[in-house]
Amino acid sequence: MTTHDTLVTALSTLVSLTGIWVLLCWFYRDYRVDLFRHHLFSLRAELFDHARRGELPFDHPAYVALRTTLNGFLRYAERIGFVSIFLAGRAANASVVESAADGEWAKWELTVNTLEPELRAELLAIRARMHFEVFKQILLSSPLLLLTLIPIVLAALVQLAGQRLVWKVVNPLYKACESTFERVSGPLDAVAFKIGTTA
Amino acid sequence: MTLISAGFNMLVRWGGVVLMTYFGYRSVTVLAGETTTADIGIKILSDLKVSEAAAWIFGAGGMTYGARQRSFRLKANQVLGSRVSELETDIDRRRSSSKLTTRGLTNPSDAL
Repeated sequence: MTTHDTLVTALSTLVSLTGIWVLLCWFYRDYRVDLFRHHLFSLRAELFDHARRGELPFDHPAYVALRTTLNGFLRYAERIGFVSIFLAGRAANASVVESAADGEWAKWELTVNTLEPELRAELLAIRARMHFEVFKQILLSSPLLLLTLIPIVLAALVQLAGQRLVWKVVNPLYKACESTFERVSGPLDAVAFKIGTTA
Repeated sequence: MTLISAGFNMLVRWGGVVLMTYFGYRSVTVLAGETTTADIGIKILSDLKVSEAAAWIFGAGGMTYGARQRSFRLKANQVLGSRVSELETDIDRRRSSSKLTTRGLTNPSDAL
């Protein structure tokens, strides 16, 4: 390979890598924010429908608190990410924010407990789904986390699938030879048990 | 706090681009004095294979398609979102808002 060939390969690789980087850091990030907002808008619409059907008034504290929180996440969706959450967790005044939020949600849980059990379950489910969306956004909106997380998750899935596959093959074999294994493993188990009790 | 996190994100984003540009620059300066930019351009074009060109067109086409689809979706947000907002306000006069733009994007006053 001549120097020219090497240069062409290096340049085209760099252009491709820059393209992938732009895709991850700009386009993918925008897509994640839009998707996050879309899911939260759906939850907010669901919440609105409960009130529209007259199941709870629009000024009910449980409705107002949940809608306000959804609005907050919608408004600052761009700022939600692994780094900001990590920094917030380490901030000196984080405990103040945390205790204020805890107080707010403790009040919310008290007010939601006054509702009908079915509606209470629906509102708790909306809140849980909202938290799940936030969690997903934190994990999947960071390009760095994505680049490190996806290979780890893929490796774990491959390992899990491999173990299941091996077990699928091994289990019928074991079943077929169970009586033979029992004869061999029985005395072994007894010895191991004996050793275990004296250890 | 938000500024630090925004600064870090900016650093990661643009740091990657600067790094790639630096490597590109270093690759070209290796041949300084031995060849011209025109030579490199001609070499790239002459080496371009049909399969590689198809891959580039596929990638660029995919990105353009995605960008256009997003643009249409934002326009649809503008048309349908404002209607939903009006109808909801008719039902709930004190309806609270997320303060996003009519296209569903971050309000410029909230952007970092």
